[in-house]
Amino acid sequence: MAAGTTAAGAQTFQSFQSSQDIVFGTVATGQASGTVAIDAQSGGTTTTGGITFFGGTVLPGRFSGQTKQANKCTVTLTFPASVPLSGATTATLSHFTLSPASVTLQGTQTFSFQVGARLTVPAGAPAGSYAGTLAATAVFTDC
Amino acid sequence: MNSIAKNRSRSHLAGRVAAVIAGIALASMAATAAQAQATATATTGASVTIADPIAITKTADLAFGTVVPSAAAGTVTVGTANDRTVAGGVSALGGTVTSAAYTVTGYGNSTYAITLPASVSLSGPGTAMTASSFVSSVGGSASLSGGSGGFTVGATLSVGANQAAGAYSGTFDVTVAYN
Repeated sequence: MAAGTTAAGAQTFQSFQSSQDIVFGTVATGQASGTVAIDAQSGGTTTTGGITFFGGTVLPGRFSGQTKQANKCTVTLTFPASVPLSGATTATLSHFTLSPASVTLQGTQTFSFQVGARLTVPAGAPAGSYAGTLAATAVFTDC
Repeated sequence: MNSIAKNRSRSHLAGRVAAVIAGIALASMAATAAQAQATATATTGASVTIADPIAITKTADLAFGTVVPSAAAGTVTVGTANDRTVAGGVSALGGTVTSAAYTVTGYGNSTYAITLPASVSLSGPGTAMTASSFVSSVGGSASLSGGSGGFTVGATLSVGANQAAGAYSGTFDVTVAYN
């Protein structure tokens, strides 16, 4: 479930929410760990190390929102250093990237970002579904 | 074998978060917020489906059976169908002849590469012998079908002139990897 909460300056924006989960498809590791990364802009994947990528649905994350002003408001997102995906063992999500890096609103109130990330899978990860929750913080400047 | 988890793609749409502020309070806050910075947090799910790693299990050893040497060196070859042929100064004399056999498990219908050793040394009562020219029944790579597969392996053993009688043995590794 995606949710939005507010901190200081509640008058500056109308909404902020996730509109798409990050999905990495199907992978396997053997005697070595490996990584699979989703590109924030293209949604394409790259792998390193001892990981095999079998395909399946791959989706970058997507966050969107709406401000109360339509001009000169700048929005960007920040992320934690890493997030665990829990399953039979733990895979680690990190190195979050953003496309675009920030949005400066000119004549529009809506904004959206695509999010890429790198997933590190330990060697011999047991088969199954692994999931976690990523919290993104939107920073509104001069909205 | 572990079951393959179904790959799930979840989409969540959050309700709008509406900030309700009294009109007077909004005006006074706006007057002082010339460089206002506000933050908000939203959460999203992240997921991956991990498939079975590839695994190999040996079900039969490579056995050359019983052979008789002579004053001339020779070879004995076990193929991939428990078949044996001899050449040079070696004669076949029964015994158990088996190709090495392996079962492979993993994800779906993936392809995998097979790595065989270049040679193996068999030690026993006399001079060590060398088995080489390893071959598999499926070549250098094969496919799983519904998560499983397998293949057999043969090789050629070089027997020395007047090789001392007795049992000779060694061990070798066969490796598989998704490709």
